[in-house]
Amino acid sequence: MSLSDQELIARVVSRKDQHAFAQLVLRYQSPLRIWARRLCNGDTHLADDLAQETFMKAYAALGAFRAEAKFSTWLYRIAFNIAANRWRAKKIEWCELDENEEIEAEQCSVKQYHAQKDVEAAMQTLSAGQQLAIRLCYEDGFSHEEAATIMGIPLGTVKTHIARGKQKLQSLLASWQDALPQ
Amino acid sequence: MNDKQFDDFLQQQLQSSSPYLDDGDFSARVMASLPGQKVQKRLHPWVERLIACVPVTLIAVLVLGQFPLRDFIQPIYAWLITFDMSSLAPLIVVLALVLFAIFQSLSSRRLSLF
Repeated sequence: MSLSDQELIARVVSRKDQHAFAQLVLRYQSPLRIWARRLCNGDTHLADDLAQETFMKAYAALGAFRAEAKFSTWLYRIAFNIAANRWRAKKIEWCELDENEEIEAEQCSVKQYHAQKDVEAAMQTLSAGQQLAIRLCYEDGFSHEEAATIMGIPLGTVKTHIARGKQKLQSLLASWQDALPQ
Repeated sequence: MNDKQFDDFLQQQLQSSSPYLDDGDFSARVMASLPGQKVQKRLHPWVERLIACVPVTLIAVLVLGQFPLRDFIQPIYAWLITFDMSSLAPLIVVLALVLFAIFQSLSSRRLSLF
C-alpha cells in the first residue's frame, strides 16, 4: 500500500526520513521533468537540472509546506520560480509569458492526420503563456486557481490565456468537429 | 463542436500524448545531492586493522594479566632444566634419517626433469 503525499511529507519533516522523500521524488519526477522541459523550451539537460534543483529546494523547505495546496502545485511553483530566476540571470532561454505577445499563428491547415499530432501542432501556434496555462489545466489536471498559483499570475490572466488559446485551437482543430461523437 | 465537447477532446488528446519519463538515475542523483547525505569515506585498510587489533590486544593483555602465569611457567622451566637430553638421541636419529630420505627423493626427481 502506497502512502499519501501528506503521510510521506510528515515523515520527511518529523523524522528526516529520506526514504519517504525518495518516494515523493519517484512519484513526481516524470510530471515535474515534463513541466521543466516546457519551461526550458524543450532543453532536456537544463530541464533535468531544473527539476533536480526543484526537489532539493522542496526538501529544504518541506517544513514550510502547508497542506492548503497540493504538493504537485507547490513543486510546480518552485520550478517556475527557479526558471524565472534563471531567466532573469539569462541562464536559460525562457518561454515568454507576456500576455500581449502573440506568436504569429502559423495558419497551418489542420490536416486529417492523427488527432494528437494535430493538437500538438495547433498548440505550437499559441503563445507560451497560453500553452502553459492550457497544459497545466488540461494535461496536468490543475484548476485555474492552481495554474495561477503555479505561474504566479492573477487568476483572470490565466482565464484569459485559456479562453484565447482555446478559441484559437478550436478554429485550428475545426476539422475534427465531424469526427467527435455528438 | 460545443465548448464541453471541445474541452473533453482537448483534455483527452493532451493527456494521451503526455509521455511518462523513465526515472533512469534521476531520483538517485536527487537523493545523492540532498544535504545531510554524507559520502562514506573508507578508512585505509591498515587503519581499519589497527582499530580492530588495538582493543583485542588490550583485552587479551588484561585477561592474561589475571592468570597466575608464574605458577604456569615455573614448572615448564623446571622440567626443561632437569630434562635428560640423551633420552632424545634415538628420536633425533630417526628424524635425521627421515629428512635424509626426503632430501634424496627430491634431488632424484629434480635430476629426472633435466
